[in-house]
Amino acid sequence: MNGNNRTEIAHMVLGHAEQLLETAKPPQIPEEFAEDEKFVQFHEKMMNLREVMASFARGDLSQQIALRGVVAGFCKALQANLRHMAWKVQQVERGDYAQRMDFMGDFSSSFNKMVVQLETTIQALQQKEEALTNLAVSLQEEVKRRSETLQKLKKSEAEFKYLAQHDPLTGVFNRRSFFSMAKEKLENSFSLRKGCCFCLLDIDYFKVFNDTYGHVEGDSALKFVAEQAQLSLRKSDIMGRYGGEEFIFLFCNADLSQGYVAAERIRAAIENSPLKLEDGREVTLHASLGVAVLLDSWADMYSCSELQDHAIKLADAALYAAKAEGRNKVCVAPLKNICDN
Amino acid sequence: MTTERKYTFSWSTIGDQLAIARPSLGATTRVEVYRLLQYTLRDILEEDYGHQKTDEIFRRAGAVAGREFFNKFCTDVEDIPGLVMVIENKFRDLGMGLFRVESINLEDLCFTLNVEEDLDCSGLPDTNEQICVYDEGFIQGILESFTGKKFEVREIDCWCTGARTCRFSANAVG
Ligand SMILES: [Zn+2]
Repeated sequence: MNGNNRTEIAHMVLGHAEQLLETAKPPQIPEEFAEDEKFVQFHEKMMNLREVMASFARGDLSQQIALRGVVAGFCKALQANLRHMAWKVQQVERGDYAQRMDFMGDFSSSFNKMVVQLETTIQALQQKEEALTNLAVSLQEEVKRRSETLQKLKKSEAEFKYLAQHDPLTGVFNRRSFFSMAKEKLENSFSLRKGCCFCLLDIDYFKVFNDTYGHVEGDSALKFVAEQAQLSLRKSDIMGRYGGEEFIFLFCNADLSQGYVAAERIRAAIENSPLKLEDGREVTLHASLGVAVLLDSWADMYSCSELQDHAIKLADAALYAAKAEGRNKVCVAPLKNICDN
Repeated sequence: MTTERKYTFSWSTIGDQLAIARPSLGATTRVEVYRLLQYTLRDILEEDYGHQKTDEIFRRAGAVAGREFFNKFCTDVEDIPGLVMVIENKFRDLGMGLFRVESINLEDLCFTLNVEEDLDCSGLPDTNEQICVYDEGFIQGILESFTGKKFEVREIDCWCTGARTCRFSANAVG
């Protein structure tokens, strides 16, 4: 083999090695070396290295590296390190923030910072979540407390309203709320072109009753009369305590005869059910009633309070007549215009 | 062969008195000294028993060391990741090497582990021989202590076979 020949062969071999390192498509073994065992072995080693590097580039770290020597050693170290990194990341993924790395240069320091940051962030999030949960709980408690307070307030408001509107002894409307209710009901009846009756009730011989049985029984008698009267009322009628042993009624949508019937029903109820005293004795109470009517046609000419005053005056006169006629009786006031007063 | 014993391993015989024993030199020595001991021992053992038997002796000794390592440092760990963390830290602290996990299959109990800057072999000439049999035993001893199962550990790449890191496969057997 002369010098030229040797150089030519060396260049061929080096050219092949270069192609193995550089070309995208792997070169074929030249015909001249197809039978050369050393050459074929080198070609195969390089091909193996290409495959290993290609699989790393694809992210496949499972490749078995059969090669030996320092380059293969570096490949194996790289493979081992990358696999270890993947394992570390998996540990972090399952919540182990104590993981740290101390190799692979910049990657390690970034990884370590990331894990610390991740742990801090997650802790902050957990604290926030906990705080939110606590807040929600205390908010719920606050809402509960408030709605309980509100309910109590509503209840006491209702109780207060009831007390303000009702006579504490008999439970019927007190005078003020009777007249405010009556005004509404009157307006309503007049708008429907219906008349109404006012009625006054006075318990007969109540002073004698009080003197005989005492004030406690007197109070019982007042309660009893109120009860009997209320039981006899129609739904639309209202009743109030007028003063002392006197009660007042408004019978809505009633003419004079209907008013008389309503009053008579009350009188009879009182007479027909005896009052039981504390000591067990029974006493029959009586009451006198006077009824007066208000015609709806008057509503165009007079105010509610004028009409009310007029009717009460008439009812009072009728009550006086009932008393005069021997008590335990209903008297109706004759129809009389306001201007006739 | 005699079964008469003069010595059984115990941490207390080798490490407890170091502060008194070596007030100036302390607890560390150079890697060459450790390797001098290991490789002269290997030399004589191979001379007398051949390399296979010697490998077996080293592996058994490694397994005792791994078991003792586990008993001393790892008994508090609760799971495999916790165990790995302790081994990683202890290996570094004691200058034994950089222990790393490449993969763990908990179902089959298959591990791929590596130790870089290995105490036994890193920097040794390429002899085409897997030399870290003592490490094989060491890892085996730890894993067997933790899992209660038998393990077979084999070095798959070693500095002495041209790799830059020693890699081990560990599989539960039986
Ligand atoms: Zn090795």
